[in-house]
Amino acid sequence: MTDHDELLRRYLLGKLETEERSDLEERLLREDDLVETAEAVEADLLDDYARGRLAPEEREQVAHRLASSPGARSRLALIQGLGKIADARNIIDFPVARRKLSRFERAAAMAAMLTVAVLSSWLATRSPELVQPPQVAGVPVPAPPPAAPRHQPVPPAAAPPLPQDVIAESTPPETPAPRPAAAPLVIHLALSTLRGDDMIPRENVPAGTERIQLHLHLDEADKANFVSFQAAVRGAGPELRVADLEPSEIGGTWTLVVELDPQLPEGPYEVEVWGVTASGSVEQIAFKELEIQRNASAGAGTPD
Amino acid sequence: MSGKEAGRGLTPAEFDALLAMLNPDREVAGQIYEDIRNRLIRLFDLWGCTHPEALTDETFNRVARKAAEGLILQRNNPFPYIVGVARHIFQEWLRQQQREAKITEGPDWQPSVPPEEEPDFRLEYIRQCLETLAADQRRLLLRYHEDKQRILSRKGLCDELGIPMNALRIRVHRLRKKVEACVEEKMRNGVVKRFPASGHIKTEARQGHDLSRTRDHDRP
Repeated sequence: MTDHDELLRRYLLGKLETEERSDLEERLLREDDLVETAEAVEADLLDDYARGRLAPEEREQVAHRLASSPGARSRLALIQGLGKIADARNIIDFPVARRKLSRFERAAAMAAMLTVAVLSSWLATRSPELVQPPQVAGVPVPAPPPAAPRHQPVPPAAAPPLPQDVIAESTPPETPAPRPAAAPLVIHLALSTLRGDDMIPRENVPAGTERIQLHLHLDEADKANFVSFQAAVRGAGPELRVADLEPSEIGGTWTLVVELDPQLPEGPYEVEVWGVTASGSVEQIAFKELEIQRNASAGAGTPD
Repeated sequence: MSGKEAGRGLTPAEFDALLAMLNPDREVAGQIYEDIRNRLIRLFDLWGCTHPEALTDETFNRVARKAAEGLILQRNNPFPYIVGVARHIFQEWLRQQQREAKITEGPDWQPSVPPEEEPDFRLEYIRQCLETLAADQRRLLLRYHEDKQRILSRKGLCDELGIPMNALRIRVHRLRKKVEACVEEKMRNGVVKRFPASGHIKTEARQGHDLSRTRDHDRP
């Protein structure tokens, strides 16, 4: 808070001496901007009052003013309403603002998807035990075991050749082929189980892990009921919040994919997921717990 | 000032004297009067007064009468004097409030029957009014009012927008005023559906609506 705003706050709380108060009031009568700032500071004060953040004597001062002022009561009601809506929605932001991809970026993304698809086919023939069983279109496949995290390590491999038109747009001829992105460590969480149904899953993150993806498995009803999803991951590190998640069908299951920080510290984590309806209302659909371990001895993690 | 004087309107001569005190140019003086009036209303509102407009008018009435009596302000600066009068009126209002509170706390006082509780649509109106904002404005306003990690969240907003906290506060305040105006409008125009004992639904307008048609229907 600036000195200016602090002065206004003290004024509104009746903490200024007479002379200081008179000077400020004279300025309030002269300066339009100052009145607006005073109103904004008052709104913060009412917010603090509503949230119980004021000292007892400050609270009393605000309550006294509220008792006589219908205007202040109306503003308080608005602020409380906004707080309720904000808390319920749990407004979530992208770490980086969403923007429309350029033609080049779309082509690069397509190339990356093709790479993954070809790699998956290659892996299926070479190491079938490392990947999910192949899915047949239209045939429902059971979801992974509830809340059982498991790895899907994919060995690095040279990217197979891509269609010529994609290569032409995504990779200029003089540019050396980029190093393939590291395969992510995938942590699976089924959202359909109720909290407390199972043990808190533990996930061991080996040293040197470059990417971690959280795969949140939705059930069909949630997929059908909501147009998009929001997720929060809270724990030892800074809280991660992601909005506008759209499910992808992975292994026959509708999945929300959240990229986690590979440096995720060891410890317990909470994963909260909300669905956003077509009308914009937000409902919590899952609250899961997860434990991240670092360099635990083999077998400490939840088996696949 | 006598009790008779307080609360009476202004004569044209008194109003002219007020304008002349504000500026020799009558048109400029009129604009200054409007500006000060608007700010005074907001000031009385910030002080927590019940009827800021009435107290503002009373302030100008008294200043105008003094001006008509030949009041000469130091350095031709009317602001300290106007603020002084406004504060004096505020103190009077406070004392009146205290007197009324004493009466209502007295042993003989009987509370009136509280009005029938009406459903509070405010939250729903706030939701609807938020939808009238652009998506980024709505997100900004709601993120500002989030309780969780409030300080970090607001700091994050400042960083994202590249503005200091006081500028963020003002930006949010302006958005909140938009929502407030929209909500107030909806509250005024809100229609309460009542279900009388007869089982017929009678729609009764709140403020600002002509009830004559409803009354006509009720006539035998």
